[in-house]
Amino acid sequence: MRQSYSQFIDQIKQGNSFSGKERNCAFLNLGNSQFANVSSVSGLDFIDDARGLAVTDWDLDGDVDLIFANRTAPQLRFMQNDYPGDHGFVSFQLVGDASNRDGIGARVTVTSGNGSSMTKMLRAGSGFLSQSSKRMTFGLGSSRQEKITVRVDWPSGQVQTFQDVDPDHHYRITESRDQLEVVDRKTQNTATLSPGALPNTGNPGTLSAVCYPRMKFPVTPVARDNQSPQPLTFSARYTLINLWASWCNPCLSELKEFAEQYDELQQLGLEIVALSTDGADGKSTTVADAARAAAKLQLPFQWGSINRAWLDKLTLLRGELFGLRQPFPMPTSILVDQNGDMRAFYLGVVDPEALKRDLQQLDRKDDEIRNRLTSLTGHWIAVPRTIDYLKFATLFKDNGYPEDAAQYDRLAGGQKARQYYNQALQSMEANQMQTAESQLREAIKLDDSFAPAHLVLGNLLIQLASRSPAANQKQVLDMGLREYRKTRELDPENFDALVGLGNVMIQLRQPAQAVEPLETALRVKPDAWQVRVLLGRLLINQKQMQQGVAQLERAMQSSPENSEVAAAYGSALMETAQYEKALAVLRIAADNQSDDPRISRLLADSLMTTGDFKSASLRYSLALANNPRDVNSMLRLSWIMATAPDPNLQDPQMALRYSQQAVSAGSNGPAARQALAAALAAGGQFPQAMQQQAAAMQMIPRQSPHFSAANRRLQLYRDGKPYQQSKNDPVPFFAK
Amino acid sequence: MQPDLPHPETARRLTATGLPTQPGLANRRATAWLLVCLLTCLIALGCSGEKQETGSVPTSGVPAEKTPQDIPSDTNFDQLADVESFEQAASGQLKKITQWIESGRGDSALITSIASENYQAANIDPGKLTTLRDTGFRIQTLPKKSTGSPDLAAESDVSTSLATTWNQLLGPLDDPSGQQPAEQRVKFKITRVEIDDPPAQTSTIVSVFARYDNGTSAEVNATLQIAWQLEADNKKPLIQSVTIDDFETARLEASEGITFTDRTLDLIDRDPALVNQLSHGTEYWISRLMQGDYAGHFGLAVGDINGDGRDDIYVCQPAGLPNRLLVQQDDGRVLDQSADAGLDILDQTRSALFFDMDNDGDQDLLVAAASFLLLYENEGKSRLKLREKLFEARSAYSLSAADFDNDGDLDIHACGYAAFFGAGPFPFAYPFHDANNGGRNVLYKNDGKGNFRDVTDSVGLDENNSRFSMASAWEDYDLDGDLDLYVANDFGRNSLYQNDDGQFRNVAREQQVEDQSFGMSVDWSDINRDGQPDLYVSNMFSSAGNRVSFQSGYMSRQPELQSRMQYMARGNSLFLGGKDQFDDISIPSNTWMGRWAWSSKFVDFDNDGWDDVVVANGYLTRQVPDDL
Repeated sequence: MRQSYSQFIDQIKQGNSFSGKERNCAFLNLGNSQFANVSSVSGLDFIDDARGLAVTDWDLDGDVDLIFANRTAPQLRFMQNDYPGDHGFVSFQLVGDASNRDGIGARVTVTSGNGSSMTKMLRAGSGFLSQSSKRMTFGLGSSRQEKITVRVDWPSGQVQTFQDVDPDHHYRITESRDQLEVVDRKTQNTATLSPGALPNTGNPGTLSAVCYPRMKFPVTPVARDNQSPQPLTFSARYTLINLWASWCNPCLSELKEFAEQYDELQQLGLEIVALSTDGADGKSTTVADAARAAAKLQLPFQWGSINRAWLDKLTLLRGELFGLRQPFPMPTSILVDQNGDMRAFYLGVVDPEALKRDLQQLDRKDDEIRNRLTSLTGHWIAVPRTIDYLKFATLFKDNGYPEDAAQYDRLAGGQKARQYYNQALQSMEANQMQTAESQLREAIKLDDSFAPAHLVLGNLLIQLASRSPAANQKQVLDMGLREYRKTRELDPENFDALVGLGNVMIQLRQPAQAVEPLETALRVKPDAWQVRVLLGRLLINQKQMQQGVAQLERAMQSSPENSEVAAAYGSALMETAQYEKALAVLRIAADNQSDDPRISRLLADSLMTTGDFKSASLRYSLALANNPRDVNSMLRLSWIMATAPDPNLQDPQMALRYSQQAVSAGSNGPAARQALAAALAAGGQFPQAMQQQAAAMQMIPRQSPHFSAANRRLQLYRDGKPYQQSKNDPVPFFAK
Repeated sequence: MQPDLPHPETARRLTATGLPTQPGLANRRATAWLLVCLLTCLIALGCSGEKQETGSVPTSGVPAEKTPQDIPSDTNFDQLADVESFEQAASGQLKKITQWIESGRGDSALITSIASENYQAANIDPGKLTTLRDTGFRIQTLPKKSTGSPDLAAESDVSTSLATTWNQLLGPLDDPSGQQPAEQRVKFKITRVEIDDPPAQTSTIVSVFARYDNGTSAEVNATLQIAWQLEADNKKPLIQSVTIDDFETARLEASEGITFTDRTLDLIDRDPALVNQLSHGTEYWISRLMQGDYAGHFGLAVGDINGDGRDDIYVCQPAGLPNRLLVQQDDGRVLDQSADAGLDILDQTRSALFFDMDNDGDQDLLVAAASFLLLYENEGKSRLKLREKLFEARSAYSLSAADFDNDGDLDIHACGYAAFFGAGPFPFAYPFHDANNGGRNVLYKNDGKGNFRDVTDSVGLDENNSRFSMASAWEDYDLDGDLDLYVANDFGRNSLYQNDDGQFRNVAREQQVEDQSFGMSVDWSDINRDGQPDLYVSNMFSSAGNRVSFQSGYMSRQPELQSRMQYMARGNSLFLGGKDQFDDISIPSNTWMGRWAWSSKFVDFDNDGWDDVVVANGYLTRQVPDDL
């Protein structure tokens, strides 16, 4: 059975037809449920392996035309209906209102004067892989002159009836209107197309082809100088494998031509290997004949001979690649690149000029090559196809080529892993994370060295971790960490993996360990400002202030216009009490991004730290206007209103209201308490001020410069004096 | 790419699909596996495109592979092999008739050699031809007697010359003025062989077509019973008698005009890129691009993309070739606007569907790619935006849209042919005559704004929903105000899902429209204008399948399976809608022989008010002319 089955498959591969040259059928309805075969006289009986068939009154002449989609050439047939009979027609375009707008599912009944009716339902999609026109055309038989009645049963349940309708018109029926509209095509637009089918061009059996996608060339044992055969290797940028034989005159003249052009071709990166089929191709010539011919030609490039098994293998290959399991014609040349990938087949004698052109094109991307091949552009939605190596592995195993089977098996494993990987990307796009995870694990199982699968799995696990219950989070993060580490092991300079590692370390609360991978990532991609900002902040967080600020400064230099970077850098400068520098940076940033609230806030802070209370209070007021719950701005504004030396800025009442509001909103840190204390003091409520100030000092470390400043203020309050901010005193909100 | 033929492992599994098996058979006779070919062709080639698609999903919903049971062979392979070799011999003889007809039926000696010495056949009296129609097409038949065979001349009035018989048969083709046809074509198909008792009998369908320079054309379609005298080696059997089972002729006089004219070249305005793309077949492009679906299952959609009142065409193409949006201009020609519209998709796409998904008055487009459906929203000015990928419908073939729940928007039905997404061998249809390991069809419900949700299961459409579905079409067959759905399945029984207020129930069996065969296409119409919708389903007619499955030695211990196999080779089906159930009128209506059929449509091409049928057909026409 298997034998007979594969024999059948073989015949197909060898180019046999199967239910081919069948002619389309047409059956004429004679009434009374009888049909007559008019396949041929209708003019539709093409032998195109037709697939799709759509019906439309294309030219609006009242009869329906047919459009076929075919497997063989021509792929499209537009069959215009020229039937000359005097049968009347009527056609309708439906516009639904309560029903769907297209009117799909509506039943239209046309009744002629003698009472005979015909009902059609409008549908979208019928036949096979086909959709016909939404215009419903009714033939009226001989009742040309008679008026007709039209009834529409809409899917909504509404029924419309139109009496005394004139035939031979195109109408629009709208569900919400009780009138038919005539939509006849304007006669001046009617043009007659001239007859003529698309040509049936191109014999697929005799084509040169460029390999798209590329594929590894089979193992090729070549015998040279009566030595035992050695497998061919590909060290040149491109190698042209030329199949020739001493009995083949076109082969010999082609070789001569190659020999003459050899220098030039070599300069283009081409090596030539001439493989003689003498003694292997069933002809009477022998390897000795090949040797004589080669000597006579004085070939400047290497030549050798191949055996029968290899030729048979190439025939198999041809069957798989081009659907024709027959020996290649002589000569045939195959262009192979440095990776051992086949790039082009030349059936017959190679035109050296075409070869040179190809050599210059082959470095392009696969898709550009496809465009050039077809001279048809377009775009892919999914991933472009690849060679199915598993199929080749099986083919060669079944046909007794274990070495090739092994080669393609190896490639197939990796390839299948990639298929799983692509599928996983799609699953992620469709938000099917569990499916994606199992697909990625399949991919890794098939090819543990496939770094992208590890990487994407790492990313996926980090995403999953954020959705996991808290108890499991660490476990999932650890799994993600392993995938990133594996990715890095396979691909040490993988930027995404390095960033992922840093990220997952931070999430695992081991920030110190995040520094190294992030630094490495920045060596790979120095311009990645996000990573540099992350690293800078991480370092500051680690109290490595100088290094952190340095990173952010560098980020600022490479992305001077980036508000994210400016904000991070400015805030780092503030944290390290480099107020003047912060002010300068933030002023420029604010000029560039005037509407960025973070920049605006930081700028206000830096203005305040440098003593420009007036500008600062303006900006805080603006921030509060935009966000009335901004407690930070409240506290800062309160501080200014309570302590500003400029009487125009002083407003103890407002200061107290803001600070109280902030504190009752939950701000009860030392700075908030000090602000409240200052506001109370400014309003003369010294005992309460002292109370708040003392509470604040409980929270300030004794060695901090803020402690002594706070203590001085406490003294003032004890003495019944409000505090006035001086330039040298630290502002409670900011570092010193 | 070469079609992805099943992994050899699947070939082994084939042996347990209920098909007869016997090792070594192929070596003995080259022809006996013809049936196997018939049985496996679709799997071998029809689905090849899928295997190339992106990786595999460990999906749920794919039925677990069934464990094949070894079925003992109850088929007499010697008999089948003898039948097939006799068919080859008989066809070889009939070829001489073909040559004689095509050479103008001059020298009757050309065919005398294939008639036996005692040849005789009843004379055909042209006067007995009944004209069924004489406007436009002239249709004539020989009326049948009560016994079923046509009423010819008096039984005693016999001819003893094969040439005379054929001249009488082809008389309706002749030109009254004696002019020779400009073109003639002859096709024989032997559909039954009976060789158990001499003389051997074949049932033979013959189609002969003649076209004259003035444009007149005529065809004869007949079914003949031919009795053969067996010679010693059976290589050249001789015709002993010819009896007519069915005889019909159609003629279209030049004065009546012609029906259809191919105007594609002018339609596409000789746009060189379009001509280049479409004037080459699938195999040309495979040999250029090293990839693609051999079976060439790529369809088309007609719709008015720009709302100008003229239909436009969207052509689906194999992987590597851009789909084409052909927009009709004022002069009836088209302009390719696929790139402008963003629809020049290079992915393999099988079919497409224009519909207004959001009731905003313009046509949106749904495209069936290999791993998902692409939903494009019309943003006006012939520009479409990819709005969503619908992932539930994979490996989709035909698409249809209808408002199944009557809520005022269009829902989508997509036929998922195979449950196969990339890795591993292609699953064999199993069991072969009733395969239930195919893909999943999906019904997407529209929320009114063009957002779609898979509701297949909740509306009851997951019943009988792992078939190899090719096509579906909607119709309110029970006229209760909601739309029912017929689904045509390859390798087995079809479904008719009756809609009762948005819930579906498969009533195919009780309605007698299971049509257990190789369903490829479905369309509805009221062909007899009785108000009840009628149904046409296309399948694959197979001469070899007919010959083999009717042998006494074929599945002799499984008569039910045998009759199923016979049905599967029969061809297309026409079911007449009735008050209670459908009536299978495929044979009496003369619409069954659609060959290896694909898209088949009801079309009133002569505007007489009665819907005719057009069948697109043919499977694989390849470089080597030998047909398996």
